[in-house]
Amino acid sequence: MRNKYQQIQAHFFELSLGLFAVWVLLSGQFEGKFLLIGLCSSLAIAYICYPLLNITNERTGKVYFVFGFNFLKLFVYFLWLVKEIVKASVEVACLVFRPRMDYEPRMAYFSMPFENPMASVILAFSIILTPGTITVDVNDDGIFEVHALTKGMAEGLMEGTMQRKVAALFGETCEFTPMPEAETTHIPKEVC
Amino acid sequence: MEIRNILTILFISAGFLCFAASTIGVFRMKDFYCRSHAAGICGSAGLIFSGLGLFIYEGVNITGIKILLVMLAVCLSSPIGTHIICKVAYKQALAAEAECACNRVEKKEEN
Repeated sequence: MRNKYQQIQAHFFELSLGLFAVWVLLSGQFEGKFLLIGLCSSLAIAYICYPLLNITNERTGKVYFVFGFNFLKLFVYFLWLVKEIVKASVEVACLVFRPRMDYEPRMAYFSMPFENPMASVILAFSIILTPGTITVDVNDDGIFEVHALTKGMAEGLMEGTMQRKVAALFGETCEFTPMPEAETTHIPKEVC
Repeated sequence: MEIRNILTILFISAGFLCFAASTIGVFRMKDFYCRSHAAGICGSAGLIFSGLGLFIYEGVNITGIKILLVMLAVCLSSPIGTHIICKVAYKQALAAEAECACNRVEKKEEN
Protein backbone atom coordinates (compact mmCIF):
# COMPACT_ATOMS: atom_id res chain seq x y z
CA MET A 1 0.00 0.00 0.00
CA ARG A 2 2.75 2.38 0.99
CA ASN A 3 4.72 1.46 -2.09
CA LYS A 4 1.73 2.38 -4.28
CA TYR A 5 1.43 5.74 -2.51
CA GLN A 6 5.11 6.48 -3.16
CA GLN A 7 4.63 5.57 -6.80
CA ILE A 8 1.71 7.99 -7.11
CA GLN A 9 3.84 10.71 -5.54
CA ALA A 10 6.67 10.03 -7.99
CA HIS A 11 4.30 10.15 -10.99
CA PHE A 12 2.76 13.40 -9.72
CA PHE A 13 6.21 14.94 -9.30
CA GLU A 14 7.28 13.86 -12.81
CA LEU A 15 4.11 15.25 -14.37
CA SER A 16 4.39 18.66 -12.68
CA LEU A 17 8.10 18.85 -13.51
CA GLY A 18 7.34 18.20 -17.19
CA LEU A 19 4.61 20.82 -17.23
CA PHE A 20 6.91 23.32 -15.52
CA ALA A 21 9.65 22.64 -18.10
CA VAL A 22 7.16 23.34 -20.92
CA TRP A 23 6.10 26.55 -19.15
CA VAL A 24 9.70 27.79 -18.89
CA LEU A 25 10.38 26.88 -22.54
CA LEU A 26 7.31 28.66 -23.84
CA SER A 27 7.56 31.78 -21.69
CA GLY A 28 11.33 32.24 -22.01
CA GLN A 29 11.47 34.48 -18.94
CA PHE A 30 13.43 33.60 -15.83
CA GLU A 31 12.19 36.20 -13.31
CA GLY A 32 11.04 34.93 -9.94
CA LYS A 33 7.43 36.09 -10.35
CA PHE A 34 6.87 34.21 -13.60
CA LEU A 35 8.59 31.07 -12.32
CA LEU A 36 6.37 31.11 -9.22
CA ILE A 37 3.20 31.50 -11.28
CA GLY A 38 4.37 28.66 -13.54
CA LEU A 39 5.13 26.39 -10.61
CA CYS A 40 1.72 27.01 -9.00
CA SER A 41 -0.20 26.47 -12.22
CA SER A 42 1.74 23.33 -13.16
CA LEU A 43 1.08 21.84 -9.71
CA ALA A 44 -2.63 22.69 -10.01
CA ILE A 45 -2.87 21.22 -13.53
CA ALA A 46 -1.04 18.07 -12.43
CA TYR A 47 -3.44 17.72 -9.47
CA ILE A 48 -6.50 18.07 -11.71
CA CYS A 49 -5.22 15.91 -14.57
CA TYR A 50 -3.55 13.09 -12.66
CA PRO A 51 -6.72 10.94 -12.23
CA LEU A 52 -7.42 11.29 -15.96
CA LEU A 53 -3.98 9.98 -16.88
CA ASN A 54 -4.47 6.53 -15.33
CA ILE A 55 -5.85 3.97 -17.79
CA THR A 56 -7.07 0.50 -16.92
CA ASN A 57 -6.53 -2.65 -18.92
CA GLU A 58 -9.97 -3.96 -19.89
CA ARG A 59 -8.94 -7.61 -19.58
CA THR A 60 -6.99 -7.72 -16.33
CA GLY A 61 -8.28 -4.58 -14.60
CA LYS A 62 -4.76 -3.35 -13.80
CA VAL A 63 -4.19 0.43 -13.71
CA TYR A 64 -1.31 1.97 -15.65
CA PHE A 65 0.08 5.50 -15.64
CA VAL A 66 0.15 6.99 -19.14
CA PHE A 67 3.71 8.36 -19.05
CA GLY A 68 5.13 5.42 -17.13
CA PHE A 69 7.81 4.48 -19.65
CA ASN A 70 11.44 5.25 -20.32
CA PHE A 71 11.66 8.49 -22.32
CA LEU A 72 15.23 7.85 -23.48
CA LYS A 73 14.20 4.52 -25.00
CA LEU A 74 11.18 6.25 -26.57
CA PHE A 75 13.50 8.84 -28.15
CA VAL A 76 15.70 6.09 -29.66
CA TYR A 77 12.55 4.35 -30.93
CA PHE A 78 11.31 7.65 -32.40
CA LEU A 79 14.57 8.12 -34.34
CA TRP A 80 14.14 4.61 -35.81
CA LEU A 81 10.51 5.47 -36.60
CA VAL A 82 11.54 8.66 -38.46
CA LYS A 83 13.85 6.56 -40.64
CA GLU A 84 10.96 4.19 -41.41
CA ILE A 85 8.62 7.13 -42.12
CA VAL A 86 11.07 8.62 -44.61
CA LYS A 87 11.54 5.26 -46.38
CA ALA A 88 7.80 4.58 -46.59
CA SER A 89 6.90 8.07 -47.72
CA VAL A 90 9.47 7.93 -50.53
CA GLU A 91 7.78 4.68 -51.59
CA VAL A 92 4.27 6.17 -51.54
CA ALA A 93 5.44 9.36 -53.27
CA CYS A 94 7.03 7.31 -56.08
CA LEU A 95 3.75 5.45 -56.42
CA VAL A 96 1.79 8.71 -56.65
CA PHE A 97 4.02 10.27 -59.31
CA ARG A 98 3.97 7.17 -61.55
CA PRO A 99 1.74 7.56 -64.65
CA ARG A 100 0.06 4.16 -64.12
CA MET A 101 -0.52 3.61 -60.43
CA ASP A 102 -0.57 -0.10 -59.63
CA TYR A 103 -1.48 -0.78 -56.03
CA GLU A 104 -3.76 -3.30 -54.39
CA PRO A 105 -5.12 -2.03 -51.07
CA ARG A 106 -5.79 -4.77 -48.57
CA MET A 107 -6.60 -5.38 -44.93
CA ALA A 108 -4.02 -7.08 -42.72
CA TYR A 109 -4.70 -8.51 -39.28
CA PHE A 110 -2.36 -9.39 -36.47
CA SER A 111 -2.68 -10.09 -32.79
CA MET A 112 -0.46 -8.39 -30.21
CA PRO A 113 -2.10 -8.55 -26.76
CA PHE A 114 -0.16 -5.95 -24.77
CA GLU A 115 -0.62 -5.74 -21.00
CA ASN A 116 -0.13 -1.97 -20.98
CA PRO A 117 -2.80 -0.11 -23.01
CA MET A 118 -0.26 2.66 -23.73
CA ALA A 119 1.83 0.14 -25.68
CA SER A 120 -1.02 -0.55 -28.07
CA VAL A 121 -1.60 3.20 -28.38
CA ILE A 122 2.06 3.77 -29.33
CA LEU A 123 2.01 0.86 -31.78
CA ALA A 124 -1.19 2.16 -33.42
CA PHE A 125 0.32 5.67 -33.57
CA SER A 126 3.49 4.47 -35.25
CA ILE A 127 1.56 2.35 -37.75
CA ILE A 128 -0.54 5.39 -38.74
CA LEU A 129 2.49 7.72 -38.85
CA THR A 130 4.17 5.41 -41.36
CA PRO A 131 2.62 6.32 -44.73
CA GLY A 132 0.98 3.37 -46.47
CA THR A 133 -0.48 1.71 -43.38
CA ILE A 134 -3.43 2.84 -41.26
CA THR A 135 -4.70 1.19 -38.09
CA VAL A 136 -8.44 0.96 -38.61
CA ASP A 137 -9.35 -0.69 -35.33
CA VAL A 138 -7.84 -2.21 -32.19
CA ASN A 139 -9.91 -4.73 -30.25
CA ASP A 140 -9.82 -5.24 -26.49
CA ASP A 141 -8.20 -8.63 -27.20
CA GLY A 142 -5.28 -6.89 -28.90
CA ILE A 143 -6.22 -7.66 -32.50
CA PHE A 144 -5.07 -4.89 -34.84
CA GLU A 145 -6.90 -4.34 -38.12
CA VAL A 146 -4.56 -2.53 -40.51
CA HIS A 147 -5.29 -1.16 -43.96
CA ALA A 148 -2.22 -1.38 -46.18
CA LEU A 149 -1.75 0.32 -49.54
CA THR A 150 0.35 -2.31 -51.30
CA LYS A 151 1.26 -5.94 -50.79
CA GLY A 152 4.86 -5.06 -49.90
CA MET A 153 3.77 -2.70 -47.13
CA ALA A 154 1.46 -5.32 -45.59
CA GLU A 155 4.27 -7.89 -45.69
CA GLY A 156 6.74 -5.40 -44.19
CA LEU A 157 4.36 -4.83 -41.30
CA MET A 158 3.81 -8.56 -40.84
CA GLU A 159 7.52 -9.15 -40.28
CA GLY A 160 6.87 -7.74 -36.82
CA THR A 161 9.97 -5.54 -36.38
CA MET A 162 7.97 -2.55 -35.17
CA GLN A 163 5.83 -4.70 -32.84
CA ARG A 164 8.90 -6.23 -31.21
CA LYS A 165 10.51 -2.82 -30.76
CA VAL A 166 7.38 -1.48 -29.02
CA ALA A 167 7.27 -4.60 -26.81
CA ALA A 168 10.91 -4.04 -25.86
CA LEU A 169 10.14 -0.38 -25.12
CA PHE A 170 7.54 -1.38 -22.51
CA GLY A 171 9.26 -4.55 -21.31
CA GLU A 172 6.32 -6.69 -22.46
CA THR A 173 6.63 -10.37 -23.26
CA CYS A 174 3.55 -10.97 -25.41
CA GLU A 175 3.70 -12.94 -28.64
CA PHE A 176 3.32 -11.39 -32.07
CA THR A 177 1.10 -13.56 -34.26
CA PRO A 178 0.17 -12.56 -37.80
CA MET A 179 -3.32 -13.70 -38.74
CA PRO A 180 -3.92 -14.94 -42.28
CA GLU A 181 -7.16 -14.05 -44.04
CA ALA A 182 -8.80 -17.39 -43.29
CA GLU A 183 -8.49 -17.05 -39.52
CA THR A 184 -10.01 -13.59 -39.34
CA THR A 185 -13.61 -14.55 -39.98
CA HIS A 186 -14.22 -15.25 -36.28
CA ILE A 187 -13.36 -11.70 -35.19
CA PRO A 188 -16.63 -10.24 -33.88
CA LYS A 189 -17.52 -7.19 -35.96
CA GLU A 190 -19.70 -4.61 -34.27
CA VAL A 191 -22.37 -3.45 -36.63
CA CYS A 192 -23.88 -0.16 -35.55
CA MET B 1 26.34 29.97 -42.17
CA GLU B 2 26.50 28.83 -45.79
CA ILE B 3 26.14 25.16 -44.90
CA ARG B 4 23.21 25.94 -42.66
CA ASN B 5 21.39 27.77 -45.47
CA ILE B 6 22.04 24.93 -47.92
CA LEU B 7 20.73 22.36 -45.42
CA THR B 8 17.64 24.50 -44.80
CA ILE B 9 16.94 24.77 -48.52
CA LEU B 10 17.37 21.00 -48.98
CA PHE B 11 15.10 20.06 -46.08
CA ILE B 12 12.34 22.55 -46.94
CA SER B 13 12.42 21.47 -50.62
CA ALA B 14 12.03 17.86 -49.50
CA GLY B 15 9.10 18.95 -47.34
CA PHE B 16 7.51 20.72 -50.30
CA LEU B 17 7.95 17.59 -52.45
CA CYS B 18 6.17 15.56 -49.76
CA PHE B 19 3.32 18.06 -49.59
CA ALA B 20 3.03 18.02 -53.41
CA ALA B 21 3.01 14.21 -53.47
CA SER B 22 0.32 14.05 -50.84
CA THR B 23 -1.88 16.64 -52.59
CA ILE B 24 -1.56 14.91 -55.97
CA GLY B 25 -2.14 11.56 -54.30
CA VAL B 26 -5.35 12.75 -52.65
CA PHE B 27 -6.68 13.60 -56.11
CA ARG B 28 -5.38 10.54 -57.95
CA MET B 29 -6.07 7.62 -55.59
CA LYS B 30 -9.19 5.60 -56.16
CA ASP B 31 -11.02 5.19 -52.87
CA PHE B 32 -11.33 6.72 -49.43
CA TYR B 33 -8.71 4.68 -47.57
CA CYS B 34 -6.06 5.10 -50.28
CA ARG B 35 -6.66 8.84 -50.24
CA SER B 36 -6.13 8.94 -46.51
CA HIS B 37 -2.83 7.07 -47.04
CA ALA B 38 -1.79 9.82 -49.43
CA ALA B 39 -2.91 12.51 -46.97
CA GLY B 40 -0.83 10.81 -44.29
CA ILE B 41 2.42 11.74 -46.08
CA CYS B 42 1.99 15.44 -45.39
CA GLY B 43 1.09 14.79 -41.76
CA SER B 44 4.26 12.86 -41.06
CA ALA B 45 7.10 13.18 -43.56
CA GLY B 46 6.26 16.65 -44.91
CA LEU B 47 5.95 18.04 -41.41
CA ILE B 48 9.16 16.37 -40.22
CA PHE B 49 11.18 17.65 -43.19
CA SER B 50 9.92 21.23 -43.17
CA GLY B 51 10.06 21.42 -39.37
CA LEU B 52 13.66 20.18 -39.36
CA GLY B 53 14.51 22.73 -42.05
CA LEU B 54 13.07 25.56 -39.98
CA PHE B 55 14.82 24.24 -36.86
CA ILE B 56 18.19 24.20 -38.63
CA TYR B 57 17.62 27.73 -39.93
CA GLU B 58 16.67 28.98 -36.47
CA GLY B 59 19.36 27.14 -34.48
CA VAL B 60 19.12 25.88 -30.91
CA ASN B 61 17.29 28.70 -29.13
CA ILE B 62 13.80 29.23 -27.75
CA THR B 63 12.18 29.67 -31.17
CA GLY B 64 13.83 26.51 -32.48
CA ILE B 65 12.65 24.45 -29.52
CA LYS B 66 9.15 25.87 -29.98
CA ILE B 67 9.24 24.63 -33.59
CA LEU B 68 10.17 21.16 -32.30
CA LEU B 69 7.24 21.33 -29.85
CA VAL B 70 4.88 22.23 -32.70
CA MET B 71 6.19 19.22 -34.66
CA LEU B 72 5.57 16.98 -31.64
CA ALA B 73 2.04 18.33 -31.17
CA VAL B 74 1.08 17.76 -34.81
CA CYS B 75 2.73 14.31 -34.82
CA LEU B 76 0.56 13.44 -31.80
CA SER B 77 -2.70 14.84 -33.11
CA SER B 78 -2.78 14.03 -36.85
CA PRO B 79 -2.82 10.18 -36.45
CA ILE B 80 -5.81 10.46 -34.10
CA GLY B 81 -7.83 12.26 -36.76
CA THR B 82 -6.84 9.77 -39.47
CA HIS B 83 -7.66 6.82 -37.21
CA ILE B 84 -11.08 8.12 -36.16
CA ILE B 85 -12.15 9.02 -39.70
CA CYS B 86 -11.05 5.58 -41.02
CA LYS B 87 -12.66 3.74 -38.11
CA VAL B 88 -16.00 5.47 -38.63
CA ALA B 89 -15.83 4.84 -42.39
CA TYR B 90 -15.03 1.16 -41.79
CA LYS B 91 -17.88 0.68 -39.31
CA GLN B 92 -20.31 2.52 -41.57
CA ALA B 93 -19.22 0.45 -44.55
CA LEU B 94 -19.69 -2.72 -42.51
CA ALA B 95 -23.15 -1.57 -41.44
CA ALA B 96 -24.04 -0.73 -45.03
CA GLU B 97 -22.78 -4.16 -46.19
CA ALA B 98 -24.78 -5.92 -43.50
CA GLU B 99 -27.88 -3.95 -44.49
CA CYS B 100 -27.37 -4.84 -48.14
CA ALA B 101 -26.99 -8.50 -47.21
CA CYS B 102 -30.20 -8.37 -45.14
CA ASN B 103 -32.07 -6.72 -48.00
CA ARG B 104 -30.82 -9.37 -50.42
CA VAL B 105 -31.99 -12.15 -48.12
CA GLU B 106 -35.39 -10.49 -47.69
CA LYS B 107 -35.78 -10.08 -51.44
CA LYS B 108 -34.90 -13.72 -52.02
CA GLU B 109 -37.47 -14.76 -49.45
CA GLU B 110 -40.08 -12.57 -51.10
CA ASN B 111 -39.32 -14.15 -54.47
